[in-house]
Amino acid sequence: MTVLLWPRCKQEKHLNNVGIVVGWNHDSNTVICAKILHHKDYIFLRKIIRPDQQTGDLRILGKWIPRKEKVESWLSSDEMAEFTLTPLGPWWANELRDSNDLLIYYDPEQNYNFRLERSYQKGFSCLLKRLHAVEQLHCLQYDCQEEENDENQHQCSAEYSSALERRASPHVILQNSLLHKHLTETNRISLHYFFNNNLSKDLPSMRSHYAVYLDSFLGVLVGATILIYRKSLSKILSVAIGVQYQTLQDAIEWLESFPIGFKLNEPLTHSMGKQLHIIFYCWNNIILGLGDCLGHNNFIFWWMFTGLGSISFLFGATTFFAILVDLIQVGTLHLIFLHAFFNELYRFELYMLVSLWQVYRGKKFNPLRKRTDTMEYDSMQLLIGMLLFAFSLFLFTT
Amino acid sequence: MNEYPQLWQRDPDTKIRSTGCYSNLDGLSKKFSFKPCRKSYNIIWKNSLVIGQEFVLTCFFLTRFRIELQVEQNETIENPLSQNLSLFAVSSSLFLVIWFSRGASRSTRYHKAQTRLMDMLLLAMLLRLISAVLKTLTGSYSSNTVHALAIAGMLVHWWGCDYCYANGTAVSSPFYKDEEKNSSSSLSLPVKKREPFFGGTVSLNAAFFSTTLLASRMNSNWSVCAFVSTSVTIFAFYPVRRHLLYVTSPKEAPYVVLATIILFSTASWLLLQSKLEKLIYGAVLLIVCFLAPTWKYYLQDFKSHIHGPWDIAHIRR
Repeated sequence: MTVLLWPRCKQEKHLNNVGIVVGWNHDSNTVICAKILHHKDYIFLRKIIRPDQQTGDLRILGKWIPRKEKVESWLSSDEMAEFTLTPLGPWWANELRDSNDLLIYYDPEQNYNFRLERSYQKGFSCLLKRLHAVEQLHCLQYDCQEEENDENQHQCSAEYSSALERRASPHVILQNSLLHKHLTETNRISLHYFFNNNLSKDLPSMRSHYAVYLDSFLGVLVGATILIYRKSLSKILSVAIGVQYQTLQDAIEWLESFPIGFKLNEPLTHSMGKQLHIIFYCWNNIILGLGDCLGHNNFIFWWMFTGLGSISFLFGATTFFAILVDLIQVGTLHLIFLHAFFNELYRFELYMLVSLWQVYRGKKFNPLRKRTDTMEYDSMQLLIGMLLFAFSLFLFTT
Repeated sequence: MNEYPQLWQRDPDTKIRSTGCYSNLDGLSKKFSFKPCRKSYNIIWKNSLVIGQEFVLTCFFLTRFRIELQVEQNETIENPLSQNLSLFAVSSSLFLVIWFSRGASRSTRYHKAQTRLMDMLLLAMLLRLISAVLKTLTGSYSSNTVHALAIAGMLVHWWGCDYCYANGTAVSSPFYKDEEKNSSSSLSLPVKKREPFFGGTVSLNAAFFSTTLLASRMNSNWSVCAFVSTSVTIFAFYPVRRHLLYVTSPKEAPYVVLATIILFSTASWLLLQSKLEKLIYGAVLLIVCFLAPTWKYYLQDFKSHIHGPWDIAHIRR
């Protein structure tokens, strides 16, 4: 039996003091190195008990102790005798590629349940991208019988990474913003990945420097261009908004003209078209009105481009593009809402059609058994069901 | 070597008896087949009456729609008296059915009245709400398409109807679970819940679907309301009443059904306008009610059931 400790990892700074991995020899089920993922203020002290010969279960006992306290105060005299310190080398997978070491993740909130992962690359790559999850130390439950199946391991690592994603930062809205992603995961955007693929993996420090330099250079270039031509760009933007509005109006009119011989419901089509015309008209007026604020032509647009150019100058091209994407999303917010609305409406229509078709056949979907069962309806239920079915069917095209 | 394939061989390891000398298909047929009881022509003919009745109701429904449409469009009707006569025929037949099946209802009068009132209000409110959409539902489709769809729907209704239920066969359903324990018939205990429809769900749905399609072609709200009410009465309420009629008065029921067939077919005959339609209508009715039962009476000699140890076990009560 071996007691594990926690030598620090050389790349610890990337993981905010949580970059340690645990493993052991799979064949003999003994620990050969000590690498633990833990919270920055605590370490995880644990023992591995050899597998039971009858059941084959691998049992691990352990506990979390504050880092500041000494290890000796938590161990008994017998345990101290078995205490060994294993020096930690770099935790890159290259060195452990030919070994049978396994990666273990721990969750203190789940009674030290852990997960085995044979491949360090796969197991750790998802952790690198989720700094928040790494800090909170998530892991999956261990199943002794699954360790022999490599395919299950891959599936489990995929499940693990998805579990990590689900438990990541609570700031979901901000996470959707490209700017937030750029700010929180600097060096993780495509420039960095571009260099990741092309440069040697043995030179990690050079990778991030190149990205920063290129980003800054492009930022200065783009920023200067925008600041010089901001007046023209403001005019182009206002023209583009007008063109967009006209394009949308033409599209709605085309849809109202029964294209491709679709059998559309005329009153409903015209009613929806009218509403959409109103929405586009109002939004267009709001945007152009903002642009012509305080009586000056394209006033706000001019200041907007000034700001964008300055940001690009100061923070780099990637920041500029991130803000630009977010601004485009804000500018087309009405389209996003309309898309979501019609998406939901269509989904509801499909759901109604499927459900009422089941009613037509005298059946019902059983969510408990996940199957279709026979159902007895009374006559009024069938009448209402068929009325709604006819509506769903004939209004579906519209 | 035997000419016929070896279907059954003696297996010394099992305790199952072999057929012995019956080692071919003929032997198998002799051992395990039997002829069902021969039914009299009277019974076959009476059982087929409900099929004819459904056909008559379907045709009456479609012709009624056509007349309503003509009245709405202020077109001249060939025989104006036919409408009144058809109404008289329908009312008489419904009265006959209700009279002979009186006392057969499983629910109390109060519950019945309450249910009917709720149904009426619900239907009225629903039609009022959806009238705007219903008017233009099939506006972009041609009349031929709508009529073809409606006729197809009524054919599905005629094909999908549960004629065993129509002929008074008891229904085994969780709804009547308690009553089946007490007696063989389904009339012993009063029912407080709304009864499900057992006369064929697909059939009723097809009829209602056709009703919706045809109602969407009408302009007047009152016409739509009357038309839909007729459909509900004929296809939803009448089959239940007919079933109760067969259960309570099994001897009189076929004759009442025959009387309703005559009355409804008279009504339809009066409402049909072209000679070809009348001819086809009469021919189909003759085939369904007389020729088909005769043919079935003749064919039943050739029918045989085969039951053996391979059948799935069914628990008999």
